Amino acid sequence: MTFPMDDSRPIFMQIAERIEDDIIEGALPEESQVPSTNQFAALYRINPATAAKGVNLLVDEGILYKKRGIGMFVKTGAREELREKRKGQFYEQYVVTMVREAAKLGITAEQLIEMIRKGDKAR
Amino acid sequence: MNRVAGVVRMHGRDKWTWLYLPWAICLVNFAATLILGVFIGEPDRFNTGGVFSIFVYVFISGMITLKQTFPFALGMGIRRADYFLGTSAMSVFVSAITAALLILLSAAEARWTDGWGIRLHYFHLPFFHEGPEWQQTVTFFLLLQSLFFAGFIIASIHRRFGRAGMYVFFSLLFLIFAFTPLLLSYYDRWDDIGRWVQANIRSLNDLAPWMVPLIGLCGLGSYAMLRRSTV
Amino acid sequence: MSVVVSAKGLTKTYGSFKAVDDVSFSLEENRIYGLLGRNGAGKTTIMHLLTAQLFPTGGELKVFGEEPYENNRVLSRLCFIKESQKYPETFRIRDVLETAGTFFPNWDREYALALSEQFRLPLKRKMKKLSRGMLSSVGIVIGLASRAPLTIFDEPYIGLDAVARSLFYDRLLEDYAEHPRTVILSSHLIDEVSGMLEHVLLIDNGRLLLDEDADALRGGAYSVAGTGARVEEFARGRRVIRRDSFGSLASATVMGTLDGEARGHADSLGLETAAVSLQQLIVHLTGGTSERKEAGGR
Repeated sequence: MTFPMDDSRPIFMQIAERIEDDIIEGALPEESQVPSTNQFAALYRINPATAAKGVNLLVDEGILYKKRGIGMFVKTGAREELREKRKGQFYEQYVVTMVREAAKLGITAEQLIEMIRKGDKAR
Repeated sequence: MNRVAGVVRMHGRDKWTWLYLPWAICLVNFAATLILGVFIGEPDRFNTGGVFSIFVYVFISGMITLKQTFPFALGMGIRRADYFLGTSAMSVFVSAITAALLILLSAAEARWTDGWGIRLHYFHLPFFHEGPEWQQTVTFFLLLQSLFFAGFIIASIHRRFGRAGMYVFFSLLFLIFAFTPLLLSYYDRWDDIGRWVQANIRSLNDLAPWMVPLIGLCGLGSYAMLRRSTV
Repeated sequence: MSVVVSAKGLTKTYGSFKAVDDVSFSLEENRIYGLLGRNGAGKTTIMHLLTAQLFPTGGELKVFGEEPYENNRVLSRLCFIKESQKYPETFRIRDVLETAGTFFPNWDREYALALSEQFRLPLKRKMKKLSRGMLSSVGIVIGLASRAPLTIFDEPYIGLDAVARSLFYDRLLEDYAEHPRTVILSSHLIDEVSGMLEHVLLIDNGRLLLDEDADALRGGAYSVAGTGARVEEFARGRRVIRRDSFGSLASATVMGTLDGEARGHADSLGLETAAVSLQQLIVHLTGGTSERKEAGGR
């Protein structure tokens, strides 16, 4: 089974994001082994070098670490670190876009807050 | 593995075209002649030169082989030189076998079975089979090689220069065959030629020395064409 | 990394027609390259030149550091699978595979037989009786089992259905992972192969249009849309590769990343922005020539 990649963004970034998602959601617990580059390549039908670039991005960011001769592992504390990072991105990615769209539709700040409360109750 | 040997092995996969088919044609023809000879008698009447089918076939196979295998070999990363050498080696091998078999059958017919019991002349023919058997074998080998490379150079010219090359080649050939007799008549040399032929060409063996340069010329010409051929 | 192919000013002309026009590039070891472009752009000619099946008119070409013409050190390390490959008509599939086995030094016979089974090839059938798809499958089996240090696939899947194409992509990636080699994949099914490519060479009208890492091209362009005047204002000073207009509305495809600056500029002009996929980018670059001339003029 192949999960399609978005062909309009660098694939190595998408790989890094998917690993991050898995860590945040607990699918990849801390100190567990991350699939190999070739496994990623086969799963997503992508170039192994591109997959490796995505994995290495997370190594550089201190989310993953390498055990020589074995593979890549999730660092202890990676989950919390990623959550903090994503919270920072949340404002940029969701709030700013939402406020802009709301303004376009003539939704006031109060109405927006009300909507968020409603959405929060429904979850 | 040596790549020339690889080309020989490639050809060896097609024994049907190289070996079985010409002999099938020749032997079916022989069987038919034999049956006619047995039932109707007067076997001399059926000596239609059926054995020559094998010579015609070898000429044609020289043309077909190139068309069938050159683009394939080149596509598989074989050098043009290696293709030429391997194909030449295969043709030498097959010509030698064919020549030996033809002379063996000729000897069987003329010496051991008295024309297969009915005085049939199929494999043993005057002019063609004169002199000792080893010499006949060499002569037949050279004849088969000449025919193969004549076919091979025609196909090589076609591969190198396409249809235009064919037109030029056959036009030249036509001119040579048309003008040589004219020139001979003009200079009144037919008698000299006739005398020379009568004196020097008593059997096919006497033509053998002429075949060697012909084979060399066709071989080198084919190689020169293939060197610059594309797929 | 060592260079496997280096072309400088490579040119192939037929009379006044330039099939390949002053193309320069180099390919590094053990990467998967995409040679992309429209039909007749010159891709196949370039691949024929690399394998010395055609002779260049000009320029310099080195493969494994040497001239490929009549050079066994080069040719024995190459495998070029092309759509138009001819096979001896009297050969069965088995004959073709066994012959390939004697020609390619790294040939894996067991693998070739396993692949043949997966592609459902009738080994005893004569080549002249094969369907288009089966012929393509034979080429794919040879290309993979040759394990040639430089393996070139030129539109290798003509006549194959989606399942068989998938099988090819999966086997290629799998075997490439186990036996790294340099691969050139020429294809017009860009969306199917783009993920597998590490680097893209885009050919158009015989010229090299792009020589770039595939991931750099993803997100390497974006499009903006809005009223014509605003789009023009945004486009000023940017590299526009395509323009479209419908009434008073217009859109422009721009090379570059959609970074904060570009996004802010577009927002301030009230323009919509969208990312451009690799496939769209290539279609735009090689699409209608009028847009490209226009873009070049600005």
